[in-house]
Amino acid sequence: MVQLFQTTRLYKLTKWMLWSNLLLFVFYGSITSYAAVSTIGNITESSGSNGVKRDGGIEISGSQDLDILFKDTLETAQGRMKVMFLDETNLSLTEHSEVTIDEYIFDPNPTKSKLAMSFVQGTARFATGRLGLVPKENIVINTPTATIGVRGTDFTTTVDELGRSLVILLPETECTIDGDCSPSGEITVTNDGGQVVLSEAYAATMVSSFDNAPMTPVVLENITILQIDNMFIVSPPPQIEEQMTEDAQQADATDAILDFNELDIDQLAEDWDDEEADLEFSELDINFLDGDFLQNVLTAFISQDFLEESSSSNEIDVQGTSFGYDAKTGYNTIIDSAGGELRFYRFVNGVISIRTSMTTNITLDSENEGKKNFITNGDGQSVLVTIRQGG
Amino acid sequence: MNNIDTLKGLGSLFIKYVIFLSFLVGVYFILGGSADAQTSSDNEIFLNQSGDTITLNIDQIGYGNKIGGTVTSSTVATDWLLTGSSLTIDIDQVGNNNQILGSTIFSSSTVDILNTGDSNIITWDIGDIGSSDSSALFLDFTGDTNLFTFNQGSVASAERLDLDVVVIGSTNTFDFDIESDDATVNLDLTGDTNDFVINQRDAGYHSVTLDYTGDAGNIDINQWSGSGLVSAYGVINGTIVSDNATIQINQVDAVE
Repeated sequence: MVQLFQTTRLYKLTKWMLWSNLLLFVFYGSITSYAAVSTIGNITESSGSNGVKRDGGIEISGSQDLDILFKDTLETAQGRMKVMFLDETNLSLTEHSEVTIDEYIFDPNPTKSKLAMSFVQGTARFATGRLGLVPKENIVINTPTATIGVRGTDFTTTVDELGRSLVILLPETECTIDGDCSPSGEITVTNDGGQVVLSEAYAATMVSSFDNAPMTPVVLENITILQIDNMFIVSPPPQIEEQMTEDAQQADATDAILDFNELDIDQLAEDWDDEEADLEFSELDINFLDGDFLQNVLTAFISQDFLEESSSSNEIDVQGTSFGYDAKTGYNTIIDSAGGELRFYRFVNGVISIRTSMTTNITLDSENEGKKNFITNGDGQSVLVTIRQGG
Repeated sequence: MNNIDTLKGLGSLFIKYVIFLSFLVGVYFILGGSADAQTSSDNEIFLNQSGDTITLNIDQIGYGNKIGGTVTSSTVATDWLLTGSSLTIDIDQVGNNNQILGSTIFSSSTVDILNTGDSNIITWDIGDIGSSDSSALFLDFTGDTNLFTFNQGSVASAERLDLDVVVIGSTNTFDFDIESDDATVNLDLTGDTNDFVINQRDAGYHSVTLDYTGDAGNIDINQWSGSGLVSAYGVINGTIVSDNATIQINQVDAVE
């Protein structure tokens, strides 16, 4: 009788444990799936004009404590925002920035946690959570021209309108006067052209397109985190410009060697009488403008994309400069048919970018170190922009 | 006869009573009038503050209010004096004919000013008697015929300014004179017949991003290297929606 009683109790206990485990399993699964589709973080700091684009277009004005959901796109105009994710990863956006949350899975099992986001435009600072709940190998940051692998904790990415990306690894803490400047870790920047590793505080690389390898990293000096904003890519620090020029020259030299074919030499065309003149070539004859890598990139983009658009447009009547890059005026004239905008961009002695409606009758009265240009769209009578640039 | 005397007495008493009531009413209106005058007179906040990490929130709603130092005449205040670092300042002025007149030294500080109304005057010197680096100013103006003048770093260092200005209104006059390195200025202007001048001087990186929507505006953007010792690098991005605007851009290495 006692044995039967004990057997019955044991049976009930076993049955109870099985049901409990089943309920726990179901509850655990619901928690996991809830985390994957529900709130993944919230805005912790908000200033100025910013917002969240949700469900393919619904725009929500940004404000402190606003929940961030999976697939949200974070945008700033004249404002900034800071988002903290569930794993305490922080993402800070400066003005005119855009980041899309492609994937965020926060699972109690860290190996199942994932974070993927796309930096579309502007400057964003990414700092992994102190708890490190999302393994760094499961974090993927995409820019239009590169993929950033995170083995560090704190870095910034600046993406301009052409998709060029500037990536800077930040220090663990702000560098001290006595030179203590430990990096926050290590990050890789990869695209189809190759990969570079940033492992020093304020190490930086620039990526111009997905096919061209990231620039050889340089360490930026005499800067602070607060200085890093969208302007950094428009007017990069001197170290970056010098390294880009050097990389471009090396690439040109490599291409020249690879392209050289002795059969291509036209011995008859060679003017041997000019040999003496060739020997007179000196450093003074070097045209450094040929090495203006940024200008070349712009020209390449324009020639590939925008020229085709401009030729199909009937609303534009631009006089005084040609579409795309005009070497005479120094202006890039770009038509954004989708946005209905006409843009004039010049990158000599500073950057001038004027954007207006395609139908606006605008005049650009431009003078650069004595060289005058008079550019109009339509009758040019509505908006008058006078530009004076000089060294 | 007695009745007549009684009636006369009552009439006299009534007249005295009426006179007394009139007196009381007069007193009431006199006091009430003066009370109303006191209510509608200027609200004045005078500041002379020094020290770090102060959080200052001021909301002024009404007509003819002032935030400044002292008032030397009935309408004009002197500059306030505010010094320190890591300050957080939030000023909201709602109403017409208000003034903010300040001389300020602050570093690593954040300033928000919301000004809603017409015919307001803001004149603010930042870094004129001491360094004021790495600060952020967010200015939000809605109204017409306002006069705003900002001087940044005219004497002392005031580098790495982050200035965001949003304006909705017409016939306003803005003058931003920034004589310091690495200033980033974002202007979002909506309205007609506004007059804006933005001067960025000194070496370093200068940046102006302008979003302008309006007619008959007059906008001057000047980026100069100031001292002429080191070349400045300037970036100007302008988006213009207008039927009649005049925009002047000077971007030169020169002493101005």
